[in-house]
Amino acid sequence: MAEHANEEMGLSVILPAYNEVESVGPLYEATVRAVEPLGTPFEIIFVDDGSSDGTFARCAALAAADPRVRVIKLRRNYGQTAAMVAGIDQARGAILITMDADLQNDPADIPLLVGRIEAGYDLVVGWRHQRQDRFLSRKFPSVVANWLIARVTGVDIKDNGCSLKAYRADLIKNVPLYSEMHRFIPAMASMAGARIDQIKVRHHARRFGTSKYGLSRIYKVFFDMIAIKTLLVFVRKPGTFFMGAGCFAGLLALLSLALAMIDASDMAQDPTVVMMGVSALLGSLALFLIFGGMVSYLFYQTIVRRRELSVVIGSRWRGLASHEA
Amino acid sequence: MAAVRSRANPVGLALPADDAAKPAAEPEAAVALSVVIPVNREEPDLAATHHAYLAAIQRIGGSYELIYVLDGHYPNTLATLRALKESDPLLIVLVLGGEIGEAAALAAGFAHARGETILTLPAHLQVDADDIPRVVGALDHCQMAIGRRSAVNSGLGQRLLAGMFHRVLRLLFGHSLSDLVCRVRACRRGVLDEIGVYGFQHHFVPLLAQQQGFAVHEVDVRPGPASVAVRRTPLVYLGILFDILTLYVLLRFTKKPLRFFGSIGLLVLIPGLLFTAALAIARLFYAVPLADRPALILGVLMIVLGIQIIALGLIGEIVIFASGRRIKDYTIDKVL
Repeated sequence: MAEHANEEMGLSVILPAYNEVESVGPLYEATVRAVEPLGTPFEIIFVDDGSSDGTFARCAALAAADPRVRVIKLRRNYGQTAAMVAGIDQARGAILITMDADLQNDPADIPLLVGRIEAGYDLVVGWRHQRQDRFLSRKFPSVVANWLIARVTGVDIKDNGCSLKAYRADLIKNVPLYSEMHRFIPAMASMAGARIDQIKVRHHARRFGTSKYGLSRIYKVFFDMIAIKTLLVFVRKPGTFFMGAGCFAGLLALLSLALAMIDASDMAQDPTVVMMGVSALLGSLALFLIFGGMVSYLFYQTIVRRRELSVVIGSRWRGLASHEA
Repeated sequence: MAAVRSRANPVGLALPADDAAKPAAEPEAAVALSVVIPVNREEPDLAATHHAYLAAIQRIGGSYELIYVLDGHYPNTLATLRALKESDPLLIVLVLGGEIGEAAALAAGFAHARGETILTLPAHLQVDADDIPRVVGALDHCQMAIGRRSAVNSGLGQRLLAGMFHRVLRLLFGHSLSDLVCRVRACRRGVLDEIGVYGFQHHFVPLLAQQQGFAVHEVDVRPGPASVAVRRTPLVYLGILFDILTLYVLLRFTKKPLRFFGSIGLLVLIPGLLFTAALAIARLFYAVPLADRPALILGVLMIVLGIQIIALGLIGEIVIFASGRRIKDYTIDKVL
């Protein structure tokens, strides 16, 4: 059934909107203008993320006039990731596009991204190489964050924050996205073995409304990044991640124990008690980490994701084969 | 009185129903309003309360069902209910296996309720029964309506405590409702399906509903004769306050455990690292002895504790990730 629906619907454009009443109309027109020449059946999905400014009414009017437009109204403001996931869950296309509804991304770039997906990539990320935002509060933190994320996760994406992305639907529907994961979609997708490409896209200054971001996200991004890194390592070797850390702590414990023994022969001082204490502490840490590793391994095994992830990789090869045929 | 286990009866309740076969056919016939009344102590005035409630509910009009949930063994109350059931066979009485708490009692009642609208009432006349139809009527404009007693005649200390309690709530959640103690609450079925009632959360159902984006209205009601019956000691408020803090952490960090544990862990780890480094430098380059004091142990202890707290956060992240696709972060209101 699902495959049948995918054949009918080639492309879904997902537009999460939060208080973007002025942008919705122009965005719709620009998107239709960009996508119609592709000649594939498409749908435009507006996700109203609990707006309070009549965004829903405007979207509903568009949907009434054009059957290709669908509107999903969320009960309250859940944030960008949740809105995107809502759109992705409801989308029927074989290729999905997500884009900010604030007109800073240009729908005219959609055909470029679709082209890369058709060339065999699973995920194509836009790169706002000439970004039209304030330098100190928006661009500079973003450059630092992207550099760090690339270092830490090993997925070299220049602009994780750009929400103009294209996905193969089979892949993204199986990648777990929750909380504020939208910044880490490339890293999460790489877990499933996705082939990722990035292309330069246009970026415009904000025409309507105000930005909905603040600097407070720095600490969140920091911890989220560490979490993602842990997950990346853990998914590859679920049994060894905490074990490694535990063994390292155990080695340190043995080392300080040895120090205590050696110093005990030195009659000038008597540091045995202190070093013994340190050794005991590090030993307890080692045990804690090893047992913690066992618990998380248990959890992971019981709620297994591995099968789903491998399904994703398998379907990629199938998709490629049918593409070549 | 055999314990029956089935989908509609998940906790294996003893049903003092006349025949066990009948309920299987019944659930198709939905009613408009389900009234759930948990009982958690002997209620000598239950018969009077029942008749007052019944009169009020009949004034609302439409089909209804009354479900009493007995949380524990209260022989006198059970006898009263048996007598009531003689005259009104439609009355449903659930007897839980033991005293398992108000939340579980409510959940059992909700599992049995067939109504599109659910009204919970206390087993004593906390509010004037005449005002109940207005609370239910308020549901025309919102998804949940709760009673707010106009003037509970309690002492000064009591009011001060309650005031502080609500101030903390407002600080943590950005909003508060002025009478969380009042158990007269009406809501649409969907509200309960989404927020769930478990653990201690039955106190905060209206707050949680508000947090989930449902419209919650407060309806002014007159306090009933049994309104002052419940006296709260400071200790009770302390317990509730602890519940609130737990709830706050749950609501804010459930899906991002590392943000919570990580910040606390770093607060311990970084001073530990600095302190230990300072000790090492002092020992190696300035020959300050370490052996005669426990400073190094303190430093290492902080490092170990910090790493343990962060590791807990990471384990949490793995658990969340493992169930990632099953977590639904959003609820859809409408699809066009």
